[in-house]
Amino acid sequence: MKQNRWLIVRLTLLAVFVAFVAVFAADQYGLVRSFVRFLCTSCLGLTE
Amino acid sequence: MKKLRWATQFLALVLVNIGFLQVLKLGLPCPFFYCYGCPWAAFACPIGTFQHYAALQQFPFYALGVVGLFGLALGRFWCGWGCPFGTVQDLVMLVRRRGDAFKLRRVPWMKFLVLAVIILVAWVAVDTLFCKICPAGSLFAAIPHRFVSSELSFGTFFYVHLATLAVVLVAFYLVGRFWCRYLCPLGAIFGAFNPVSLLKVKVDFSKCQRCESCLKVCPAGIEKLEEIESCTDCTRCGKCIEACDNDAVRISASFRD
Repeated sequence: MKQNRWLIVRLTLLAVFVAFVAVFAADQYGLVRSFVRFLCTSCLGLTE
Repeated sequence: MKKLRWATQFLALVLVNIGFLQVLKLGLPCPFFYCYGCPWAAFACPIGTFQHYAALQQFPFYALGVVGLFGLALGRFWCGWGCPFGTVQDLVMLVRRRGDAFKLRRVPWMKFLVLAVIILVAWVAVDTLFCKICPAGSLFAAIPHRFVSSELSFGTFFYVHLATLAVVLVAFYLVGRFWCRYLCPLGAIFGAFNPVSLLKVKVDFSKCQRCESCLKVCPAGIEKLEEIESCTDCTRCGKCIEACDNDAVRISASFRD
């Protein structure tokens, strides 16, 4: 019974996270990539 | 196991730094507390990403999905076996060559509070304020950029970065894995997954002699045998497995249990 409960919890979480990625990756991947590609110099305390 | 862990930690450090070409810089959050401001960063810092979304007053569905999948798979295994900031803490402890200078009580809720404050502040201030004091950003991004990008000069927050880094390095020297145990906001997220992650550290109580040799070597400061499996502080480093003479502690991967 306890094993089944953990199985259900894990499968539910897996489904939720996979859905998040599948549905929103196309919209949000580019923004996340821009965080990596463009340096925030003010965040690092550096000035040009 | 110790050598294998050093190898995976080194491999992770190489992997997060393969972004030396723009095309290799990916929009994928990494499962480590590692600054995406690093000159060669290939992946996004999850905490920086969550702050950005909080500042934009949007919900990070995609980033949360990726981080959730990492957490669901391995829990805090990422912290013990890959995180570059965890590796720095292990290196500092190598210099010390002894255990903690003094024993601190576990405060499991502290890192969750840190995470909540970071996101709330980003949302209210509409800025990624934690990035301006983040010690991982100091070590992996601010200092390297100062040498790699000669056109950049020091600003006020550069010195703030150096100060926070100095403080945490002293803390690392005095208490092993201090950041992971008390302050890491990403550790809080992965720690929350420890009870449900597929990969776990399990204690076989039919073999356990309750000598507690596993607890004596635990860098996370876990105090009870029953807490090993689901404790949010456990980084799955495996030192308890090495310390057990009865093979009662093992790494287990199961979807059902």
